[in-house]
Amino acid sequence: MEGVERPQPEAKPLHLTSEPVCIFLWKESAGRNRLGIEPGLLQAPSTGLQACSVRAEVIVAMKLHVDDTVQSGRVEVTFIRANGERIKATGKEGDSLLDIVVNNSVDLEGYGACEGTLTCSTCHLIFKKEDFDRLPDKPTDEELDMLDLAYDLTDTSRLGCQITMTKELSGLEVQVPATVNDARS
Amino acid sequence: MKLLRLGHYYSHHCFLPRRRLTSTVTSIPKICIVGSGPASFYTAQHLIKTVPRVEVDIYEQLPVPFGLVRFGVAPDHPEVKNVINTFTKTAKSPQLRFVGNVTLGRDLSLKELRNAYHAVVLAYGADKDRELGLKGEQLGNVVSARRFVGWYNGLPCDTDFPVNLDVEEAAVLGHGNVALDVARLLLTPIDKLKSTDITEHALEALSRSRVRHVKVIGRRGPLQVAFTIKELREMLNLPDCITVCNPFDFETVRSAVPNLERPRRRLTELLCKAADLSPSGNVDSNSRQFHLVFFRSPLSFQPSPDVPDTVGSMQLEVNQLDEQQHAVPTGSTETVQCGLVLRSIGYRSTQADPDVPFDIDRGHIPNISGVVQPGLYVAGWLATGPIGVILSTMTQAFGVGRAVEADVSSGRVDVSQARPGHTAIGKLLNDRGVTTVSWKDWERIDAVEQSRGKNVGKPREKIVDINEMLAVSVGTGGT
Ligand SMILES: Cc1cc2nc3c(=O)[nH]c(=O)nc-3n(C[C@H](O)[C@H](O)[C@H](O)COP(=O)(O)OP(=O)(O)OC[C@H]3O[C@@H](n4cnc5c(N)ncnc54)[C@H](O)[C@@H]3O)c2cc1C
Ligand SMILES: NC(=O)c1ccc[n+]([C@@H]2O[C@H](COP(=O)([O-])OP(=O)(O)OC[C@H]3O[C@@H](n4cnc5c(N)ncnc54)[C@H](OP(=O)(O)O)[C@@H]3O)[C@@H](O)[C@H]2O)c1
Ligand code: FES
Repeated sequence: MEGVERPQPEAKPLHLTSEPVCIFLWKESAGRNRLGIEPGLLQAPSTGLQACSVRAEVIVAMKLHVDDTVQSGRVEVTFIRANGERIKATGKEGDSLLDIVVNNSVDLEGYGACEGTLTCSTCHLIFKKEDFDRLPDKPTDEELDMLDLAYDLTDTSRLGCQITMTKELSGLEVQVPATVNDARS
Repeated sequence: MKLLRLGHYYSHHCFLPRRRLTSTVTSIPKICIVGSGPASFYTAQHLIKTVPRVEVDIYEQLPVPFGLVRFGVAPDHPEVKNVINTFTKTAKSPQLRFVGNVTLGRDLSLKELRNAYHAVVLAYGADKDRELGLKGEQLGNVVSARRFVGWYNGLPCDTDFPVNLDVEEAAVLGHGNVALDVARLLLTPIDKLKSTDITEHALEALSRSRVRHVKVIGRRGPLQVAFTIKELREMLNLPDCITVCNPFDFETVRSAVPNLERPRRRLTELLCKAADLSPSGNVDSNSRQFHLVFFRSPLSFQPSPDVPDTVGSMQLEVNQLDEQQHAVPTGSTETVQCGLVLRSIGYRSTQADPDVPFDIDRGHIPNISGVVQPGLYVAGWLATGPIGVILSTMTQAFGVGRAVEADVSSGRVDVSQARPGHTAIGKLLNDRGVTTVSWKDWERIDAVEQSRGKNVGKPREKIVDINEMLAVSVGTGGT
């Protein structure tokens, strides 16, 4: 991120959309970090980190998305694990559910192995019937072909890498199937 | 289709251990994995994530990692190989050590590994294949699909694989995905392969190939095929290639379709559609043809009248299904012309070391969810038999990771006493004069392969000779 020229941010707080992966402390006399963001504007609600409390030492999370859509097209998704655990994540309109898992570092082991190229089906998600029906894009034959290899396939299954988030879908709740197949042999 | 580059996304994060052990651990848990295919890397990923301070050492027989992702997955399926990005991130963890060019059973024994490590995970896959045991199987150009795959994918031991593509009729025996991979490679227009990481020698031979008709022959019917729908669809969509089926094979199939589970139903519907579109009368013999042949088992191979000691035709037995859906002979036979036969009836694991508890009949290491006994585990195809895609291998491997973690944290595997790990094994290898390849060394090979590929418009040009790999790995093998 060093040396990246960034426009001055508007005076709105920027939210860290994910927990920080790596935290650097930079001392900069000007009170700005390398992103050119005033410390007071950096907030990481999910971790309770408040950069504004550190005055000249600026906390920068590597995965901060300095992105002006953070304010506008924000969408929210809740991933529900097989054990019932709920994981809230945010993204922006146009993100796929795989993008949101990746950008939020949602800890779903093995999720998205082929990186969204429709060749692995590790990004399988199960939707509520009413959500499934209102997804704007119906699955293509190619997506169904890959889905057919997924474990715990249901009638409301889709591949997360093929679902594009819209404003209307914000607040979506999706079930993450237990990939644990009984590998006894 | 959405394409996404994950690049750095997963970095750092996956390696922060999430759970802490309740008991006080005095020494560092040292675990080694034999093999570096998907089973190995997924097991390692899980261990690094869940076992605090663990050190994982991977011993791989080749100087290069990734097993069948590099040497199995077809060159025209580059997306499947994206898993390599995640494996690479795991490999770059300070808790992981890759030691290439080390073979269990030759350079090291299982006993030595078990003495040096708290736990050993065997994940050396299945690198032999099943044979039919039929008359004429030793004739020239009756070859194993596994070796053909190794040849086009640059497996060092298959570089000089003797295959003659100067024939028109080829037959592939078996109805699995490997059979479709090799059939597709034989029927794909050469221009589509030029920009893949297929080896130069294979590209050159395939560009001169005269093969036009490929019969993919299964002993059972359309409802029993082992290949999957995506791979079938690719065959049906091959440019300038006609799919030919016998409509009689589908007589009883259609009525069964509605009662099938979705995956089998969709696959069968696509097969029926292919049968419907199959040309009835004579097909122009100059066209490229993919024949899907059902209910036929090979009986014997006959030499060609023109080329001595080489196959020219094959006798097939016509089958029907019994109540258990097994193939049983009807008594009638037929002969098909074929100058090349690729046997694709499955891979086979071997017992790499006499101490490996191996079930020869089933061709795997008996295990319960990956556990052979506390301290000894088995992951991937070696555990399950040679079936399943990366998804299934991954799921099984995570299960093995969980089993190891559970044994370590419960004390079933005692990690309170320090083990020497690579300190002892590295010394043994050194004493035995084994040249090893580190991850850094592999990165040198990788960079040279990619740069050679760039010069010819490919993602990489694989180095196919072990000595050259070793030279390049230490920076002396050219660029
Ligand atoms: C031709 C082919 C194409 C495939 N294509 C696809 C595909 O497109 N998509 C998909 O999802 N799946 C595909 N698969 C399946 C996939 O490759 C397997 O699920 C997976 O590779 C199994 O992983 P593994 O780690 O158990 O074995 P492997 O990948 O075979 O890894 C075993 C490793 O152990 C090493 N080894 C062997 N013996 C020793 C020894 N004695 N000492 C040390 N190391 C040793 C080997 O060199 C190898 O690196 C394909 C399989 C084949 C055969
Ligand atoms: N693109 C991909 O995703 C991809 C590519 C390649 C491989 N793979 C996976 O890798 C695994 C291995 O593939 P594979 O093709 O080697 O094995 P496979 O899927 O098990 O298929 C083996 C085929 O050989 C037949 N066969 C076995 N013994 C026979 C005999 N004695 N005589 C005649 N036919 C015989 C089987 O028929 P029966 O059913 O009658 O036994 C079956 O059709 C599979 O799980 C496959 O899906 C995936
Ligand atoms: S990420 Fe592989 S199919 Fe969606």
